[in-house]
Amino acid sequence: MIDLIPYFLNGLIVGSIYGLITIGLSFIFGILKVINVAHGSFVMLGAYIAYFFFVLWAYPPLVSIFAGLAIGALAGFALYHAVIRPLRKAGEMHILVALFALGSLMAELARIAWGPNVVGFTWNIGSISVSGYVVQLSQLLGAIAALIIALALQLILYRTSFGRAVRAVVQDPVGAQIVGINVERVFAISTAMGIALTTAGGVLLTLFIPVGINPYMGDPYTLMAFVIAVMGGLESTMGAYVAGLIFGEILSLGYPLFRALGFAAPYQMSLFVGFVILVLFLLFRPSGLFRI
Amino acid sequence: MKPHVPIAIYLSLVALSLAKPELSQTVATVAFYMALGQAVNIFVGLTGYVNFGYAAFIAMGAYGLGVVIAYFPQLGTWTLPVGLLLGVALAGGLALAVGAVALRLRSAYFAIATIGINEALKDLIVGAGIWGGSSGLVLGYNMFQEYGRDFALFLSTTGSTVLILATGLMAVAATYLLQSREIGYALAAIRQDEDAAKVMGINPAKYKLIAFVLSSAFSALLGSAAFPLAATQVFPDTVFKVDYILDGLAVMFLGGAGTVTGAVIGGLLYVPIRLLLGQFLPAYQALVTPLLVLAVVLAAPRGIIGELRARVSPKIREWIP
Repeated sequence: MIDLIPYFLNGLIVGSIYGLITIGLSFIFGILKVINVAHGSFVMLGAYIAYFFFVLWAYPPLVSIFAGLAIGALAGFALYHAVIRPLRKAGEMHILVALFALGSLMAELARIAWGPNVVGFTWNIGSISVSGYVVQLSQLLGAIAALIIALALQLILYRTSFGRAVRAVVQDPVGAQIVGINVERVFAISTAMGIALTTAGGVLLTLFIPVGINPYMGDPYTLMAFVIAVMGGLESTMGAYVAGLIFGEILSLGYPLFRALGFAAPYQMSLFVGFVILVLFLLFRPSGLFRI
Repeated sequence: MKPHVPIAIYLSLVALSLAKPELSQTVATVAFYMALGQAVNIFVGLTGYVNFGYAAFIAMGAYGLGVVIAYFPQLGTWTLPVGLLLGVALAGGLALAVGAVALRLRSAYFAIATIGINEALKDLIVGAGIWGGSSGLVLGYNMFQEYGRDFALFLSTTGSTVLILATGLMAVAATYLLQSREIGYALAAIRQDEDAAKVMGINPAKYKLIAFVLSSAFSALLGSAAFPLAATQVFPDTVFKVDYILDGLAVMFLGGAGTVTGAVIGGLLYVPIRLLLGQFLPAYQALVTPLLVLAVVLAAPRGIIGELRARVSPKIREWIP
């Protein structure tokens, strides 16, 4: 009998990061109704930010997360003004295709700038033991940081006037405009925030992939984020975080299961199961796990 | 509407590849992108929905033929038609299954589902180790056994080129027929306003599904021609390449989404553009396709044929559908 508790703990911790990575996607979709198919490339950007801050200046990911948020916000503003706003009139097909091309462009630029090789780093600050089960302290702190960011977003949404403006735009963009909300500005800031959350997730992700940073790393995370976002209801940020925890468990518990069943590549099988879950959700419950 | 121009271009390419077998490789490359753009156009161009899963359908075609050649050598020469049919059936079945689930929902959900098909199927093949798993299928020996040396060599050169051209030609005919029949009006209505189309008594899911399955089947034929037939091997990393999706979109948008002639012109231009820029800036060749797509979508969303059609007299417009 395999002891599943370490896999469970790991799933919870890594799930917190998956949740944070997905929140950015759900946030942008919830407000702009735009699916960011370039999502994975912004995760990749965050991972490289963490890598360079650690290798060049020895800043750990818990510090470079602020750089991730700042650079991500700038990238989000640029994304909104260069791609999303000009194409809003042209239609959804054009936005999707442009974003997809942008994601590919970012990966190729990263390859030219930073090389095609897989890089990585390990930030080791010891581990703690929870009744005999060892947890890496750096990963635990990363998971807590992700939770704090997710909660901070809720505070912004429900306790500030900007959050109220955002919620008004979500309910009715025209009505929001009539009562004097600058809808364009809400869209721009929301895109910036969504991308910032995504790159921050990419920064924290590096704690879990000691050798896994490369220009094309984003694609599996795009799929993962889509699965989680649909599970969480696609427009709900807290739903996305909770679904991230659940998905972390699926991946983490699926690994020993598929290995015990004798599959050649158990991790790939868990990812395939993720896609099956996506199709099942689309079939039976497109509104996600939680009604909002 | 007269589809004479695209058909004439395809037929002259067929004649060229038969008359000059040494050019077969070049013709095949150009024709592959022309036909891929046309296949993408049948669904994306005509419905306005985006399918990010084309590589998966190309892979289904590649595996369909590859599996029959690898595992059923007793069929001899029959492996070719059986394999092609299996590839089309796999891709069509996959499109039917995914489309039936996701085409009922908002287009955002459909895009999400299709972007997953690619990764998920690759994960399944590698993860479960089916059809050769991560080590793929190497078919050269089997093809010599099944087809005889000379016919196998003919198939992997001129044969695959002609199959690609025939696929493109069929896709042109399908685009033309789809556009000029009742379904074309239904698709145009769906593209402009799906809710209004529903009110008019059109069943959007049905028409979108027809276009989706057709478009996937053509992609599968291209996969069969390019991988098992021409390259005599099928590896998960090469057949599930995301690049093909962007290539297909680039060809379609360059020529003009939703037109019959667009993908033909787009394909004829796309390959030389990539080659030329690759010659002068070899390190930056990979940037060409995404930059091209971005530039066309942002600056000329109607593409070359779309812009032309908007400018010329109705008499000439007849000739560039």
